[in-house]
Amino acid sequence: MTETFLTLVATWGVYAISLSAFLSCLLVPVPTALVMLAGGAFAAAGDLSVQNVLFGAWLAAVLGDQTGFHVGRRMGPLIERYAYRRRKTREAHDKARNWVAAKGEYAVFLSTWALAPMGPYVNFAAGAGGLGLLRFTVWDALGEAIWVGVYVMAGFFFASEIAALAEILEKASGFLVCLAGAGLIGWIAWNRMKTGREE
Amino acid sequence: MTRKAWRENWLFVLAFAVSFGLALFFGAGLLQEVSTFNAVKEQPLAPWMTPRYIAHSWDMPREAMMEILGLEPPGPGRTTIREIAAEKGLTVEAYIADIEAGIVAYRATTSK
Repeated sequence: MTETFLTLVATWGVYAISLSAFLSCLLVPVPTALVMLAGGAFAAAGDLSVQNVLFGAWLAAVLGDQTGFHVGRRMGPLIERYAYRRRKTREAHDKARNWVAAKGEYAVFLSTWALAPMGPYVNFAAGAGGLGLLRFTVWDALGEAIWVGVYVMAGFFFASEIAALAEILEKASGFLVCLAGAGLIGWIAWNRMKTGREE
Repeated sequence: MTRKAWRENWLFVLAFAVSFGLALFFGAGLLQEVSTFNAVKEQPLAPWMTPRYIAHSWDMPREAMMEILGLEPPGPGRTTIREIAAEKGLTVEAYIADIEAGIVAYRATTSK
């Protein structure tokens, strides 16, 4: 598996890296971390231009996120119609939409790098929740620059250890996602219990 | 926690425990990976590698590496040693063994 993807990067260069970055924004399970590290490593060896790898991966990731965002935008009215059938789901829907409209860009920003596994879902939700295109694009492009920059440069400087580095980054992102999830659930539970006591 | 609070929120408490447990699991794995990370390792040769990548990983001049690989400098660019072995009519395993022997020989001459 690892071998296959590394061979693809060696053979197709920036095209393989860009395609992988694009697809991973759309929930296709490609090992983009490894692919971007390999891009950096081949650049360090002199087989690829580091500027091309950085720009290609960044542009592809931004385009992938745009795709997810626009799919969400199209689906928004459909979700709304479904949610409006019952009062409870309607309230939850409006609350979520208001949150996305008010603070959605922070979630978009974090989901491009620190919480990268959440990216495809957040893009979709941002589109469906009515986040403005400009706000989405600016924060998304910023975050993707961090993501691509960190992975490609890590591969560049530790070119001999990209497989071990891929493991490290995968565990780190799992750790951050679970910790953020625990924090969020804990916060919701805490608030529920607090309001429950006051009643 | 009162019984009523538990009854209303047990799902949240459970979900919190699961995600926190998973975070600990990944965190422990992360620590283990980081502690065994060796940034200057010479990587065992593998079929996906390119000539320049091997030269970089083994910290050798490109010209010397091309000579070991039996290639004209500056080398074929992004071609894997699997493809080069096929062109030379060798199995990739045999080619890798040749390259390893070549690296050892090169080091023996330069360290004198």
